[in-house]
Amino acid sequence: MDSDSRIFPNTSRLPDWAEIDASIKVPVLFFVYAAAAWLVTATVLGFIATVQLVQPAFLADFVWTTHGKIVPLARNALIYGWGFNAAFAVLIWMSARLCRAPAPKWGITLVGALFWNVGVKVGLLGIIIGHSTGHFLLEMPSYAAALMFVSYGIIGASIAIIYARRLEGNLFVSQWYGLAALFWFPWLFTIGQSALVFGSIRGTGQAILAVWYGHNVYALFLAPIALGAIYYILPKRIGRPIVGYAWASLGFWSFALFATFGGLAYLAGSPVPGWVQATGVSANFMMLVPLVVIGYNFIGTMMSGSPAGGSGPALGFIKFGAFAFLAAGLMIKIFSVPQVYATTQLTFVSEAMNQMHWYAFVTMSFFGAIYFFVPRLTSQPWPSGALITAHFWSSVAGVIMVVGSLVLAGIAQGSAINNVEAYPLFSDIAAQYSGYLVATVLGFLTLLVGQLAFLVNILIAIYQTCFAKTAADPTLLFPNPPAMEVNS
Amino acid sequence: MNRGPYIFLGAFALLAFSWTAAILANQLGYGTLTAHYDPLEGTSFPAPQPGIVARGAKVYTELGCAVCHTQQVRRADLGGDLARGWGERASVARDYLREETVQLGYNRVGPDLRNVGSRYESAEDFYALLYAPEQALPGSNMPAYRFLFEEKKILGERSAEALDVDAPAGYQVVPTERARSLAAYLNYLHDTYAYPETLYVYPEEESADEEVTAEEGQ
Repeated sequence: MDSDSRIFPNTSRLPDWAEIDASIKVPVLFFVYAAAAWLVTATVLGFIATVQLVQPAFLADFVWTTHGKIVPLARNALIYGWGFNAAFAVLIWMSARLCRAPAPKWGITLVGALFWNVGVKVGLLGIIIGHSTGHFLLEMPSYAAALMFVSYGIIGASIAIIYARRLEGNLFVSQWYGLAALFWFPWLFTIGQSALVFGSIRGTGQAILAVWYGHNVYALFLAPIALGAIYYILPKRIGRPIVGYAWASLGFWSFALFATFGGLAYLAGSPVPGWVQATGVSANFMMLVPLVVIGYNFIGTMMSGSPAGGSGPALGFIKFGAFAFLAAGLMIKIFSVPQVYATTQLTFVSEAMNQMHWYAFVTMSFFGAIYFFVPRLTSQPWPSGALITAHFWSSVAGVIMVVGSLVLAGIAQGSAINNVEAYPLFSDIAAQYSGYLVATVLGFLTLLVGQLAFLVNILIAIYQTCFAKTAADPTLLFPNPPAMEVNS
Repeated sequence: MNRGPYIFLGAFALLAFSWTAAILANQLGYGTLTAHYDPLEGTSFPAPQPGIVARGAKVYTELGCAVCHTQQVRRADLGGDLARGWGERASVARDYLREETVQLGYNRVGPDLRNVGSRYESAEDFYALLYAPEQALPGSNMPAYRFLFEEKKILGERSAEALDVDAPAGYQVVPTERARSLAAYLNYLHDTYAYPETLYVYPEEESADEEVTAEEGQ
């Protein structure tokens, strides 16, 4: 028995790449389009919310646009609209490619995709008309959650079938992250919804559940998929295998184990049992283990060779995402020191960390993945390289402005709150931090410019695929030529 | 080797562990905490919520007040909450038992509201704050909640609840039912009762504070 037939026991059944791509093309492109549209929506809402912080009268006279509703709308549109749609696209594509197996009938996945997006819209509408549950990232009313749960079941099942169809038993590190995230989210969602919305947890146990769930949507769903994408694209674009691959499994398990408790640190100082607070803070420090391992994998691979055939746009986003992951891990340690969080807890710093996790790391990695795989699916290069460049630089500038200004605002806010003699009135405190928020407003505008470029590029790419029939040479698709990522 | 089942089982075990530790352990640990009945006062603490207060809590949740306001007073060693007069003592878990939706909050764009009921006298104070925060508190960055009020024609006498603000001739500004509930809820918010477990959450004695200040001054 030679090695080929051991890895692929029945070589005659191996599907070719064109067949695999055809099985996932429609739902993946739909997810990418829906994600980009949600991202623009979320950023517009985030922009409105930040303007309201600087100019409280802005859109304040309507019950539907009051600040307390715009903020959860922006957050839910970003996570369940952009984050999940993009994660589905990345996950389906990554699974089909790495498992070398076609997806089941794409029409079924598309139905799931449509209903997921209807569910998110219903949920946001529910928040607007006053049915918010009031719990972080569980704000959407239960009737929307039920729809989302069923849709996730359909989408998730079609991804699970890809895994079941694979012929090779061995799994690459990206597949561990993808497979685990695929199952983690529905379990989390079930726990969150059943305990908070239908159930009867009383008292501050609700707050513990809300931060646990809210953080785990990042730590056990978005982050694993983003890490999987980096583990996949980095070696492909560098042209070298992952450095220190044997350690990757330690990184995977230790990340999941410690990150899942990280959310509890948001309750340090709150009226919850002391050991809960200590667990959260310790978990943030123990995150050093996965940070070192994953950082070694990422940075080692980056330094091991020059990019294969020039640097495509995907690599820039992926590298930024990888560094943002490491930077977020270090920042969260600083904000977990008791002397520091006495100032920074319950300030804009928590929003800065959300943007660091959701935007600087997860979103930038998803951008990289989308720039990598869409041309390979449509068999055409991206319509405009200039739009990609604009997107990259405005994202980098925007995310640095947003995170930086929120951290500074939070520190100014926390210091003023704790200094009663100098700032006896709350209006004095607001005067201390509101200046920084002007930079946050500008940051959101900068992000929006790039996202519009991204959306336009996607719309043209989808239009060209659907209507302009240019026969591309299918052999171009593999091995992946980096020239496909830009308009040469 | 097919590692799929190991990843699946490992992922399941990990989430089960996380849930057991973070959620189940707390539910078993203090999920059965009950209100404290004080025979001398003839009532239990935290005080039961009248219907209008419970409705006001729903308005608080719907409007997303928790986006900008926390409801938790932290210990004296973790910031200036007590020095600021946001409470007589730090909050404890039992304070929240009567809340249908616990809204601890995560950002203090505005002041903490856990004891706001003891800082203002009456519902009228809250109406003034909600209708025109700029006038009630100069420099405030809170948006006005005009949609919680309505202009009504004065029929006969002016309503006792009418706000002392400019209105067209013959009209008055009166709170809606939602504003009444919200004000009742805010007025209800004060944790002053000393439970057995609150022994250690009061700020240090005045004299101790003075000693520290004197030492620092030298």
